[in-house]
Amino acid sequence: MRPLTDTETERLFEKLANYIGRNITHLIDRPDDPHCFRIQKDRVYYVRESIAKLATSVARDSLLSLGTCLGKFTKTGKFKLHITALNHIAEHAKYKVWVKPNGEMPFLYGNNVVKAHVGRISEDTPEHQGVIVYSMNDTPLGFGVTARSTAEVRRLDPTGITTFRQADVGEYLRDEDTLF
Amino acid sequence: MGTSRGASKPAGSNSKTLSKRPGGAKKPGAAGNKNKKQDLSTPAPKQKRKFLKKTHTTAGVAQIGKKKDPKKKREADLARLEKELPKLNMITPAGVVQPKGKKKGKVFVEDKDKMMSILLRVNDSKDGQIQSKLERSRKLEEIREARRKEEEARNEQRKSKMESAKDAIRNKRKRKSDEDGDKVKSAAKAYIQKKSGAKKVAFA
Repeated sequence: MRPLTDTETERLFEKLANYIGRNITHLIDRPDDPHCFRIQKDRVYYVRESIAKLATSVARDSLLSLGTCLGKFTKTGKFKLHITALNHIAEHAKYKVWVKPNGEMPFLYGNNVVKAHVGRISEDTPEHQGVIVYSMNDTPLGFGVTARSTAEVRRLDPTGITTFRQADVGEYLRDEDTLF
Repeated sequence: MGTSRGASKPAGSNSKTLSKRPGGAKKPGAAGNKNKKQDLSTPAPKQKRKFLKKTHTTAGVAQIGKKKDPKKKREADLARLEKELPKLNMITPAGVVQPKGKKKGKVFVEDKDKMMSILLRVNDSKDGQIQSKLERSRKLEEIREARRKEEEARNEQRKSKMESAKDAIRNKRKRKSDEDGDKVKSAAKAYIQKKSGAKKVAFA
């Protein structure tokens, strides 16, 4: 376990900024409950500082996980956000898409969100922008990337893709072995 | 025979060495032994002593003219050549050459200020991207709207043209039928007038 390097921090922030924009400061700056980012093997964790200090007494090979896993660095150096980060991201989300009840299951099985399943969408969402996918009762289901801007979505035919899926809570079951 | 020779040799050698020794000095003595006779007849010119110049430097005393070790000389030559010759124009990968005096290994971001500066940089770039995307989509939307309006206007024009053409045709037909109708009416009137003059029927 170690802190992140300069480039690693930049990559992580770039990815997080796709979904929560300037709200990353809320993750970093928490005077009441200070948290930090730590990397163990290739995974990045968002950890309470007190826990991070305790974890220094555990050998690298023996340490499996700590705090909340935000995602992992690929071999090419890109950062991939995991569904485990959803709780932290959802509360600071900038752009949102609400899915109708008939679109929840298709999304949770790993499909993209089509126009027919979109209940609501944030105004002025540009295309290829990270969005959090919610059910109509505001339960976060996952996150994705918009295929079209809000204006274009309105004109889209019902089978047209609105949001490309990136991660969904169904992964907790589907990718149980490799997720953590 | 062999034994006698062998015995004589060491004796001779001994005598030579013995004769050298009494001379005193080591090096000049060796030469002086042969020139003993000459010494007696003519005064021999003073032998030149090999004198090695000494230079006193801050680093110490160096002797000039002293023969250097060939190995060392070669090494020195190689070092000099290495300095003088231009380097080959080879590609050195960026990761291979490490700048001197720099910390080895990874540099971690541990203080909040550094993290915040990275965050600011990232946020600025992301905001710029989002703004440009929104602006582009807005422009595209405007263009689309203008095209749609143009199309609508064209359709309207086409429709009105069609309507006017239809009206014209309708009017033409009406006029014709009116004219025809007038003719029929007048003919019928004339016929009725003719008939009315001839006969009158009344029912009680």
